[in-house]
Amino acid sequence: MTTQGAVTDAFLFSMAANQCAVFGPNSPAVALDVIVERAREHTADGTAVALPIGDPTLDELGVEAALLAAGVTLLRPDDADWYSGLAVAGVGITSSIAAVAATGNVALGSGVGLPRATSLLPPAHVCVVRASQVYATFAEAISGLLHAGPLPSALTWIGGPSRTGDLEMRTTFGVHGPKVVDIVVLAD
Amino acid sequence: MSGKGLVTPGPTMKARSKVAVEDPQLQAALSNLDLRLFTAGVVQAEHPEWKDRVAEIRRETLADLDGWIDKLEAKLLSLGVVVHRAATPEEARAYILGLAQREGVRRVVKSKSMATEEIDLGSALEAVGIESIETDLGEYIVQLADERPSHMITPAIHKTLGQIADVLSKEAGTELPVVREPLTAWARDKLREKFVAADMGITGANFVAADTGTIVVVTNEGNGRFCTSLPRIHVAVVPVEKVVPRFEDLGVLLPTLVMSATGAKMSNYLSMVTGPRREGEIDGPEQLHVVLLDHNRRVLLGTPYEDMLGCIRCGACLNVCPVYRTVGGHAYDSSYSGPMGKILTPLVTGGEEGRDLPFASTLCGACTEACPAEIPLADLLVRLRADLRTPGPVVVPGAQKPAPPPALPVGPVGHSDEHPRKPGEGFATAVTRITVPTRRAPWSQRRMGFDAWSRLWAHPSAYRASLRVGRLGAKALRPRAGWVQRAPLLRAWTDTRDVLVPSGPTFRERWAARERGEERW
Amino acid sequence: MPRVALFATCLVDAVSPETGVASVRLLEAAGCEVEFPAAQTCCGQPAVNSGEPEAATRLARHFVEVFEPFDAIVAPSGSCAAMVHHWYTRLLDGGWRQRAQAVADKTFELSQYLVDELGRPDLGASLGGTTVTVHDACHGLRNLGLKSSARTLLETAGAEIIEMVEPEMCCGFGGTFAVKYEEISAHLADDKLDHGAQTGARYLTSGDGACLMHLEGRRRRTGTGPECVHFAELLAGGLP
Ligand code: SF4
Repeated sequence: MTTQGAVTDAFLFSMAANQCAVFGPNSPAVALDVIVERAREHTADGTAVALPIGDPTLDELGVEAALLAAGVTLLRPDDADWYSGLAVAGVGITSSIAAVAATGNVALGSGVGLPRATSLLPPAHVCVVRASQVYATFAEAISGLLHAGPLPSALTWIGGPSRTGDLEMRTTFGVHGPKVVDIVVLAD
Repeated sequence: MSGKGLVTPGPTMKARSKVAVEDPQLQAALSNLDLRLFTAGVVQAEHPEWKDRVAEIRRETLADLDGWIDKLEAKLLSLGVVVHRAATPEEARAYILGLAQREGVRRVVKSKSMATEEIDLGSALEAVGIESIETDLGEYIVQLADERPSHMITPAIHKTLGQIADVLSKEAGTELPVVREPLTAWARDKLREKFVAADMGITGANFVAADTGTIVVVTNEGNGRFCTSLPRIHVAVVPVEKVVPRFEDLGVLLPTLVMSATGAKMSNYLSMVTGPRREGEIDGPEQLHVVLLDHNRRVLLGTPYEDMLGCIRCGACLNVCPVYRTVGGHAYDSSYSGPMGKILTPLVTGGEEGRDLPFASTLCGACTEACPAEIPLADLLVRLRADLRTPGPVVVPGAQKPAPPPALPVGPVGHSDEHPRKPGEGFATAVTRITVPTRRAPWSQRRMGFDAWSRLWAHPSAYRASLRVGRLGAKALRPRAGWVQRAPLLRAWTDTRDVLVPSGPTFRERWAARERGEERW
Repeated sequence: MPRVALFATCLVDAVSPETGVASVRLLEAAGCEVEFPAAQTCCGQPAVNSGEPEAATRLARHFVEVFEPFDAIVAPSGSCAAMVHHWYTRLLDGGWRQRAQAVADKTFELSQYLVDELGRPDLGASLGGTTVTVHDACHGLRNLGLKSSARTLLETAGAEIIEMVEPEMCCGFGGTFAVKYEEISAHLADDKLDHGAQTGARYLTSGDGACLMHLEGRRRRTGTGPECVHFAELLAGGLP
């Protein structure tokens, strides 16, 4: 649909303006290639990829199998060393449950198998966004999420790499959260 | 509300302002910023409809604040959140300290919050030996320097990069370069250690939605995410006016808040917390406590100061304020600075602090114009100047008669499904702090002066006589074309400026001369 | 011919009668019949801003009584006109409030009256070759919405307006603030005078005598900034 196409383009533009690397909109096959390629790049130094369990979008794409085939080390929430491993993982991969073109941000929901820390502790975050879940405005996204079912215990909105304006009011990146955020849009 | 070291010391706003104006470092830091161009009027220009909607939502909330608080509390309890109603900062602190001690908490990480500043929570925790770390980079710098934040959005705005490097180097025990990236990287690693080891995360809340019980924390750095995700206990300190009726209201409130605060379209992170960790989840707090803080707010409902509770803490009024931009935040010696702080401080402290603040304003109205919640800040400053004439708590015209203190004990216990709140319990002590006006303002020197002056000038002949007397008195100053450089009685003016004094004929004398045909214009 | 009551303001009456004279000349050039109600005193603004509403109310009543018989009331001060508009209805009650509203509805600042009410931007004044920068005095700007009217008068007369940085920033006068917080007040005056100086304009003008007295007083002390003159005096100086 052309309107959704325009919204998706606007979303990619906003995210790029927020200093994210943006990819797409891509077919599932291409999106998967991009995810694997980004994951390998972020873990080129031998670190692990943190991957949730039971994420519908990532499972549908077959991210786990593709990453294993690519030979990267996976860290999963049911691993005993999840937390200590996460502290030194190279990248966390998640999907989003909504995204906004006007404000340029994505919403992540917590859940069983979907820990909050996946997108928080590693220095890089790859986020897969379904084009059909991109809203034009923040207000529309808020309504959409409210009516989509019970809110998750943690609904986290992310605009891009962690940043601060505290040093003489110039933007400096990578304070607490990831320094790099990759946005992969899936055409659906 | 005090206790922190200040960059700008002094017993009064007047004294502190003088120091601030004469502090070259502070003036350099302040002039680095173009605060006004940075945020002023962005919302008004780009989304004029937001402002009206925001004001509408805030008014709707305040019209039945107690009702929304009850709804919020019921929803929070159903989510498994422990709720504590605190009438005073003391009660809020006692509850949080009690909880921390019961739970054996050794280290607390805090995300920037005006409410925890207001109740001076950090010092209280340190006093009982619990390490409390501010995790917003600006707050962390300010904490290490043993100061208080000087701006509610950018707390270390009064510091130059060189001063920041000094503060961080001291903590690091090694010389850090005066360059943003390495300074940030050092703080990131340092604070990461603290996050991982913390047992309790303490945040404020930018909003809390009554229908879903969702607590919203806005940050750019991600420290709010850490504080609400990693520690096993999360405490949110929420002043009562932060409640909003509906989750959907956030759709306009958050973009307005962020745009008014920083000029950006959205903050980098928003954490929306709906209840504690759920079954099967492996992170998120096991316990979530919400401390609802009244501290003389509910008593303002129905008074002219009710509008002030609509404040969404965006800081736009600070950024446009000529006084704030000249002296910075520390001159206010209060958790809240700038125009909103001049009003909120004397009100929430029951008139105990900041009584001189409302006078430190030119009443230019730039704040009123900038405020996205349509709060008539300049008018409230004028009102407060009158209401503060009576000593003690602020006398609020129209305030409800204080309710008798409840018979029920209010202790440091939270309310949960096991300990439901009894009717009438909570908040009760707050209403005794503000008195209902029963007597007129006392006759201060100022009041007597203005009274006499207005009586005289309500009579044209007395007015004319006073102009003549003034001119006679001014003659001794030997004005040149009306201007005088030094006048003993006008030193407060002439120390910095020449003064224009009555010298030649008044306008009315010239008018009369023209009427008589003695003068042609 | 419109009949206009001039509210000179106490400040103009006592220390800058030239502003009053200029106002009368401009109003007459616009074809008005000007009256000066001799019973007028002060609008009461110093009292309300000092937190003394009772004293202000007394003078507000006096103002209403003096000026209600006239068709239009014009003041060469945005601040005093704004006092009538903004505070009188908030200070007075009952019947007095209605009378205050009626008076406020016909009270104007000088440039507002000439340009917006009469539609007479061209008064026959000629200021060709004069460079001016305009300070938007706060109360006129924010309570009365004055922004363009003084500029229109000056431009129509041929003056060249060179805008300064932040013309809407307060000059730091603020009534008793000017003496209670003189350090901040002077600092803000310096900012304003610096911004004025940066334009290279010959004059810094405004529609409020009090701001101008504060700025000119500071300029005389520091030597920085353009000469500060009320726009009415500039315009009247260009009348034939
Ligand atoms: S008073 Fe208005 S402008 Fe100031 S912080 Fe509050 S909402 Fe923002």
